[in-house]
Amino acid sequence: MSKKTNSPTPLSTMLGDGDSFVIRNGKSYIVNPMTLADVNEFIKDNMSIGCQLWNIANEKEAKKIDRWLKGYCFDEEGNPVTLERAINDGWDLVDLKNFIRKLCDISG
Amino acid sequence: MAPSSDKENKYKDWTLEELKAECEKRKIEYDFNATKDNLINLLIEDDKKPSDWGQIYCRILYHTGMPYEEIARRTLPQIKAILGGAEENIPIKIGIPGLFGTSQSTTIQKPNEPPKVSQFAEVANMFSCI
Repeated sequence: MSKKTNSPTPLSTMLGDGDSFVIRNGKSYIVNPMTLADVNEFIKDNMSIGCQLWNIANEKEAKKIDRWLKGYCFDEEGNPVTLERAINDGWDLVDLKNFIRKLCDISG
Repeated sequence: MAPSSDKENKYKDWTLEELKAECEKRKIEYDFNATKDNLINLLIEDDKKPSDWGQIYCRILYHTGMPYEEIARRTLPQIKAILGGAEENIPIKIGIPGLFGTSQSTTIQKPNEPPKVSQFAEVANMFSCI
């Protein structure tokens, strides 16, 4: 938008392709960027992006994290990753934090 | 007065002419005799303003003919690329709260190793029964 950001836009951005996301035990996933329609909902959810204890401890917050995982995190076969699946795959709290940060980073 | 933080001062390497051009592009009024620091402060203040989504939608509709509902299905990087390609200089920002977390307290089980989500979920479930 300004003079310093004239780098070419990759085709993957225009296609809305996701980005690779590897958790600490080496498992690999794809995180897709949020659509504009969901950005507002994400902001309203007011989730903690840093500390993940609150997101997991509170049932209501856990549902929110589940919604964003299911919507935007996919395994290598393209299956959505639920919170339950993330737990089974051995995600730790840092992985969860990194996922939310990744989602924010690639979404704009 | 120089802008307070170098981290947020992405304009520090810009020339006076470039800063003036950027102000004009954004339709920011400035004193003709303004110094580099004055212009940088004006631009930083402008950066802090919330995005005008009405204007963003108008520009996309005007330049692309994209159906209104379709805009919401695009990602923010796509919107930025579309507006950039149309040479529309509209700052787009989304304020995501809680960037550094809402809680200061953490419970770490082992040094250098964060607890598994499963381990914490078990503890949380114990309290949900109360």
